[in-house]
Amino acid sequence: MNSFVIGLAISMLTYLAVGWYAGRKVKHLDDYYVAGRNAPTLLIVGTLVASFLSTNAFMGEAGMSYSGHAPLIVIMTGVNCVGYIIGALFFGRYLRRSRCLTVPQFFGRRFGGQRLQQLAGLTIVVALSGYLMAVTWGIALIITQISGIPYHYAILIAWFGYTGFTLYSGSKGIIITDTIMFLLFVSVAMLALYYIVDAGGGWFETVRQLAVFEQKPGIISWHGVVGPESNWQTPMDALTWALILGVAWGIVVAVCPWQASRYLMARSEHVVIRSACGAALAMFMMYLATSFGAAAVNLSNPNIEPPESTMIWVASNLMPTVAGAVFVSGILAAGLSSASTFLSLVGFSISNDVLLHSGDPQRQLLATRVIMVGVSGLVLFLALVIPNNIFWITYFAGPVFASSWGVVAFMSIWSKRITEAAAFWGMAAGFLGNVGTNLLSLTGAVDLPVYLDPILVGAAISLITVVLVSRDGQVTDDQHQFRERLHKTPSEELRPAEVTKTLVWSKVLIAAGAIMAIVIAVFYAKPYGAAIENTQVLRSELVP
Amino acid sequence: MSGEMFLAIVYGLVMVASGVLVWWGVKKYYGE
Repeated sequence: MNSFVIGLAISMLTYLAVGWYAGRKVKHLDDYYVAGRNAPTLLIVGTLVASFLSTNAFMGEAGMSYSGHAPLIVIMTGVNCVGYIIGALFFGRYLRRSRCLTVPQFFGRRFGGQRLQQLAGLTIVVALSGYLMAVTWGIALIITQISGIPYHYAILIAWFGYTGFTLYSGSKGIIITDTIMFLLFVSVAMLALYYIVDAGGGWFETVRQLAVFEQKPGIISWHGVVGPESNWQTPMDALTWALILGVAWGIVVAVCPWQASRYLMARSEHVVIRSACGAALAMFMMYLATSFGAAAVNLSNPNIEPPESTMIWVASNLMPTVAGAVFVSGILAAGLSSASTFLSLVGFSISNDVLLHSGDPQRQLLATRVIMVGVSGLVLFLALVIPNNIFWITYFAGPVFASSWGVVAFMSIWSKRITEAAAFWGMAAGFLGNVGTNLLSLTGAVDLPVYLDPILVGAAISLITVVLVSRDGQVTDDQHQFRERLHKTPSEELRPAEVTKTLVWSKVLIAAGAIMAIVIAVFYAKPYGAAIENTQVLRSELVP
Repeated sequence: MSGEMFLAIVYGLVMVASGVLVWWGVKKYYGE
């Protein structure tokens, strides 16, 4: 048994133990669905980031950075992170105020329509079951790669891991295991960066060498590698792509169920806002480290195939055995944390939203656990029989919520005119618009320009549908009153001590922004510029 | 100014703007 397998076994057993410990404290439905609505800022930050980052961050996106596109990943993340702030201020805290068990239930109560709750629940069941399958494959691939365990057994191990600690404890355990995993993978990402940079000869030497790296020219320039052999022909193509995807994923983090539902667990609305600030900061720092680190691996080995295995190569070749094992455990943690959140959300949605369980809470608690066993079993079966297709499922399942939920979510808070029918058809049209545009694009029927990304096309179709359908309808008194109640701030949220504490987070963001600009300028932009200038001087001296 | 330096400043500004938005939102909706 190698050190990676031992590290994996220890971390899995830890998560199981924590899950079982937390599960013993689950007494009520609120505990299982929304962790008793009592979670502090650290746990919400942990679960926000851990649910968002899956194995894709350390494999697909790290591979992209290694291939020459790290600056685009960082630009995309920079825009994406603003989604946390906008989401918390303009949707998340109102969602928490509604005291619903799930986000689809919020839509149902806001518009007084069961069909909307069921539709939102169904989108979760379809998209997140697919996402869960993709994450299961991702975890299994890593297990196979590090241990040599056959792929089908690795799928079983991955499935057992996340099902074990999710089933019994529900959200009460998930937010704790997510936070442990978050702290683990953030720490090990920084540790890996240290070893990568050390292998490159230190920070400034690494920047200097990458600035003039001939095999992938422009790898750390502001736009990354562009040209005939890249996906982007010009720097502006690359920038446009990163900005569009950044906006699209910004909407995802603002309203998607595996992010917004975390706010239902927050102790207060102030915790919602503070944790959004913390998540934005943590996410940006994390991507800065992993993207630059993955690009810098080129100095140690520019020929890793496939590029998605870059970080596994780092763990095996650049880090001491124990540190490498911990790093791999961190990458797996990123996958397991997302998987546990997806499994719980699908289980909650079937039980609470699609089947509209309204009976005895204790029976619903039992029913939810039984349904979760069924969902988990079905996903295991599909993961075993369907050929691995991580990329396309991930490509579809995450962003579809930006298209179908984005407009309806924000308008449910801010529009006086949106009707139940408009919300229902807007959500359905956004979903179908995204899927349809994706199909047209993937089959090659149309070649869409970057600004017509299926995420944004779906969102635009959703908005047009909502506006058109609302014109022919009437907002009912109940809908109007529900929205009015959402805008009444509870008195306990106005306590000056709490407000002052939340304002500290805004000052932290402002200070972090100023410090970050100076750090990036001094440690990246200036040495990069100097390296380019020196090379040009040397070349001009060599050419008579 | 190089593109890299411009990017460094923009990253900082985006984060500063996020902080200002939070400050405005908290003051507006919760007072002090």
